[in-house]
Amino acid sequence: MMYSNNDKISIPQMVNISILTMIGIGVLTLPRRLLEEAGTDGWLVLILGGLVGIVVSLTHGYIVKSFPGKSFFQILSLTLTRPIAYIVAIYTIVYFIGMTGYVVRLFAMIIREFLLPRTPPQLVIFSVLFVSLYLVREGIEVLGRMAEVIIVPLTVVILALFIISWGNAEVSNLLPVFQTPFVEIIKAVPFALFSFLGFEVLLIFGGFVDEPVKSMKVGPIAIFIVLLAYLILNASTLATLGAQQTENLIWPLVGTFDTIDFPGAFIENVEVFIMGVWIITVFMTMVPLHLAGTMLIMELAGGKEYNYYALLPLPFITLLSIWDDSIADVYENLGSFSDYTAYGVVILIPLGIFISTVMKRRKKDKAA
Amino acid sequence: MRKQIILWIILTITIALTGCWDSIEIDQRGYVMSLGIDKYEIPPPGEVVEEEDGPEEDGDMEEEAAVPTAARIPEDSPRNRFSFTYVIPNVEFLVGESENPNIVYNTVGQNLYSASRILTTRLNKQVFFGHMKVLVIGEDVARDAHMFREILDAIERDAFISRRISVAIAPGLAREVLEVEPLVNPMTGQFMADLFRNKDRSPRSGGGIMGDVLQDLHRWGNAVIPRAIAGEEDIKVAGSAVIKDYRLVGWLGEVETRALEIIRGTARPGGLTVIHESQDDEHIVPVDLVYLSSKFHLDEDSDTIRIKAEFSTDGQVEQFFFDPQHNLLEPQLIRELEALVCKKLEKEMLTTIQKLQKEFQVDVLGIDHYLSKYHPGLWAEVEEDWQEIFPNIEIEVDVSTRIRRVGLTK
Repeated sequence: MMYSNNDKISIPQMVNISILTMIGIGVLTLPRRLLEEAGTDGWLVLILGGLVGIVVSLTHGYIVKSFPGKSFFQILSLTLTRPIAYIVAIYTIVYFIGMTGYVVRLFAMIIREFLLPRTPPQLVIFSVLFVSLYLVREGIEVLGRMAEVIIVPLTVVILALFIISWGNAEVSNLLPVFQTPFVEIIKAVPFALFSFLGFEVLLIFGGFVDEPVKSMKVGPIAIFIVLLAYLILNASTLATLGAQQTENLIWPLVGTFDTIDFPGAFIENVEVFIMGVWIITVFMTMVPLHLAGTMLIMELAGGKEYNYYALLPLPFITLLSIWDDSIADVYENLGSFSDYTAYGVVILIPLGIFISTVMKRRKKDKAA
Repeated sequence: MRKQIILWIILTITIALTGCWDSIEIDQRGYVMSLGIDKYEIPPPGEVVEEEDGPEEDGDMEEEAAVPTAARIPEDSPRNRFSFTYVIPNVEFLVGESENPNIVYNTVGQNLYSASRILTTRLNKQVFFGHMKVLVIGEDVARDAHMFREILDAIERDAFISRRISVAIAPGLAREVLEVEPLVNPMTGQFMADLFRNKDRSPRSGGGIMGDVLQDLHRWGNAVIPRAIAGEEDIKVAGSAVIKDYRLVGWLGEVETRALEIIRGTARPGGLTVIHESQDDEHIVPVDLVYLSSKFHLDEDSDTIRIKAEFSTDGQVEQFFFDPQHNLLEPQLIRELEALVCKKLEKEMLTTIQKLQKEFQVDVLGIDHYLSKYHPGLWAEVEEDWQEIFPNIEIEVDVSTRIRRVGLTK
């Protein structure tokens, strides 16, 4: 066992963690971004992006499977030599901490817009970070259980809310289809892949999986479920709001629920419900990212206790989350930040490990 | 032990302090039920002057409320562009402590936000739009595309104003509509909201849901919005305003609005009356109709754009004649009535289409929407010039009516 204070997570728990990490801040903007990229053919982009995501996640699964019980840093050291491993690990830490920072920032901003217009955003940032800290301190096993407990009620509530929103839907709003040139759709695939970001936590948490043999299943199952969720979400938003209006709303998903008129009207704003559910999903995006960053930092520093190391990224996360001035800057900079880091962490590094593993195996085979 | 004490303290604090942050008591808020927006114009000299800073109450309070020293005509400076009318239900009226059901405030300002903030200089409550139900826009604002778009954006951008509010355009001043205290329910805001939500609402006005109107306007800048007319002691919502390029271009009457709603496929059930003539007699026959479907078809063989619109309706005869010569169990008579209904509906629709094509030259029928969805290839060619092409396209209408029920007598 690698860490004395932490045990194992099962494959289903890992799947749940992946799903919840993927679904987070992106869902609110997803329908608009898809329209901007490919018009009403956004669903096609999503499916292609999901397929690419599945292929990428298979390499992640393969890596975890090839090094059962090894941590990400150990895998890096074994495959890419120690000095490179340090650089790559620091780069990965920057990615996870940076992502957490942006998630926290967007979270605070949207909370302020819809729920707490007069509360200082710093207060929201601090309080959510401390709750995240509380969960991260307990380590991976508690996170796994949390994900498992949360996912079923969450699915039920989300589905129910969507079904209610279909009352105002006009299905023909999904038309026309297959109008976007194929080149445009291919160009939009990287964006779609980015909306599935989060499945890379498998690389970090893979060492804790109790049956590493099955780890290649995790990515495909999780991405498939998220893809389904995204397709439903995108179709509902388009059908309810219409393409042109969706394109004009910053967070069209919330607008979808604003059109619901509850019979009897005992609830004035159904949005509040969706915001409540959304807070939980964002929290479950934040915590795995925070935990992944913490784990890597801890390993680089050679520590053993989450308690203290979980605190270490907090100043950086806070700093990042108050760095940008306006919402326009946040989305702009989040885009460039993920361009510089996500490709590396999600595609290049696993590819490097993968190639090195295969080459080493060949050598071994030859030697044998 | 110490741990337990700390735990208890934390628990008590979290439970006891919940919700204290920024809490606002319910009576500290002025819930704006309906909002009227007019273009500000200097009142002609000699009339009762509305003042900028003094309290302006509802109609019959006007003269008492005017404080002569504070009264001055707001200048026609760039700052005073809009005139806003806020209708806030009077909580004291509900508990029987006041005579006035509404608190009506009128203020002048450059935009909705600053006018509402300045309002707090003479209102002891926080202006809150979270429960707003009805927005009435004055004709002058709607006729000015720039001002109209400003208002639309202010409404859509606000996170607390729901997309489900109803919107109407008043010929003349929105203020006049909101100052009416309807006999049935003197709380004007609630009355108007109920008017829009009435399940039995006639198809003689459009839906007027803000979200739908915004959706139409985002599309190509054209929409229809219900018309609200002020009476002595009631308010009527019927007919509609036609918006073209974010600007009011004209009005559709009640019958035209019904025809338009049927064409758009959004008509609520409602009937019409036909005159049935036989050899020796003439009967007035009202028929209750449910509008089932509305479909467009593009005639692809034709060189020009030809649209065939098909509608189907279901009906029930509401009145015929006491002891008639021919009774309603004769299928032939039913067929005749059906034909009459179809003919009348088709005629109304064609008149309306004619008016929209020739007079307003604006496509609020939804043909643009239909083409963009089902014939995207053609739409890509015509989208740019649709405004010019639409008046010249051919539109055929075809109504099929089935009278299913005749009531209790033959």
